[in-house]
Amino acid sequence: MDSAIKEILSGFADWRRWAWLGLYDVKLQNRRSFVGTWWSVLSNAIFVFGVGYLFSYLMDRPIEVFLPHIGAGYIVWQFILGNVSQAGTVFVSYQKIILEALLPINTLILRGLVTSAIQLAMSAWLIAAVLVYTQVLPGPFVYLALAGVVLNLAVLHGAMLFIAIVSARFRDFRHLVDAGMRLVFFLTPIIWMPNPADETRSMLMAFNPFYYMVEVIRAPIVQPTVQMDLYAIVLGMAVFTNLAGLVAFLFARRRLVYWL
Amino acid sequence: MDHAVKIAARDLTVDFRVPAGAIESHSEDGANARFQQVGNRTVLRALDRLSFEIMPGERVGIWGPNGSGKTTLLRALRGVYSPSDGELVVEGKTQSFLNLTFGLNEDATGWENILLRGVLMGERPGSIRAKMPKIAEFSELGEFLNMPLRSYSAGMRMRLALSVAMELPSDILLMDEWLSVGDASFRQKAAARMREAVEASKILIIASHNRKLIEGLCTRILTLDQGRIVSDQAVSGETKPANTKHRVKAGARRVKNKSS
Repeated sequence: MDSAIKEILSGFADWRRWAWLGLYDVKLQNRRSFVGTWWSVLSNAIFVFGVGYLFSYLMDRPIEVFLPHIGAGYIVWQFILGNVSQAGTVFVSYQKIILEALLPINTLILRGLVTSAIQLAMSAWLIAAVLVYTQVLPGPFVYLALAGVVLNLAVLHGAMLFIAIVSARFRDFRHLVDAGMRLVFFLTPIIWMPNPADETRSMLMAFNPFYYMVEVIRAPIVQPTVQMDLYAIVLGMAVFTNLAGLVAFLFARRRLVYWL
Repeated sequence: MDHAVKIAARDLTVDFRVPAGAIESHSEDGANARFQQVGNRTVLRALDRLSFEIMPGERVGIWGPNGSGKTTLLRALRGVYSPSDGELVVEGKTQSFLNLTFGLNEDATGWENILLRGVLMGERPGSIRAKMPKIAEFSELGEFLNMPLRSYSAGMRMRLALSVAMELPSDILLMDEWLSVGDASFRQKAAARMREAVEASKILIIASHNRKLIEGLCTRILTLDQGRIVSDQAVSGETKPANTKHRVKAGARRVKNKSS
């Protein structure tokens, strides 16, 4: 138990390695393409504006309300989705590294988190563009979105560790996760808006952890007030996922290399 | 180097679990004898009760046919696989060169790949940058270092990866096979460099089917067959009898591996 926790902590402490590797991955991505790393931002922009206009019409919502909602929501969703689905293949695709380099277990996960955090930061320009386009001012506590990002990273660290370990042992697991995430996208208020009068909608949100992960970043951008309970819930989720990741790691520690 | 460098294995055994039902029969002939019944599990006995000691200054060649356990032994020495039975003590910092391609990026240049590989092997980006001129010189790749890895031949990749491995600090250098990909002149140069590096206080362990190559480079040859040591001889000619004691005793599982 002790040595497992030590390994995870030493993974964090080795920040120069994962921060550098994550940064370098961004640099090397899409090296041969002209738009390069900005493709992820551009494709988000196409989705946000296209689906934003379509659903604002279908659901009869004013564009200046709906576009910031789907813009911030979709970008955060892509950030979460990218990490969750990457977790399913991380140990398998970096098998050669794991069978030689003796990295702490979470180094490769932190590397992925760095890469996706940089992409999220790049997409922040898209959120700004949406707000300028719709002439909506961000909420007065917009800086709290950063705290939401940090909380999301904490939740994802544990969740990814868990998913990565289970997927290394059971190769079906990641397909299940991918299928689940596709459904969750529609269950989370991203292309639809919350409506306090609608009980079903409120239920869908209350029991959906992804709603809280999205909202803790989105709310400060599009809303004028601070919702403290959001932070408490997401913090609780971070504790829960990291405990789950740790338990999986305790079990998998000696076995992982034999599963690859 | 004032700390102890030493490798000691006593009845070192590494088993891989085999899924129930994958093995049709347990017979004693040929490769089939590697599949054994331990308790109610079927295992592939990759390393079968190896006992040996390696002292500083030794350059040990591991020689044997395909599937004899060479790479598994290197991985066990590296600390990737822990002993299923018996005891292995590795004192000193290990560095390995087991997989030619791990960590390398096809679209990145030679320079960038030196950095990537070095950082994955535990170096700080700054310190690997400082070593880059030496690495580049040793590799003799010249202007190719500005080209993406895609344009490299197998031998050139080997030069790149090996040149990085040579510059990383280690007490025990573990190498698999790859030297044989290089051309004769580079092979000689690398061999000379390894002899010099190992000189007094270090250990070099290299696995190969190429008997000539390891005879030229090593002071001692361990011959493996079917996961067992069948001979342990000094290259000068004298043969020590192989350790063939068949003790089956649950030993301590201890790997003291100080490598990062």
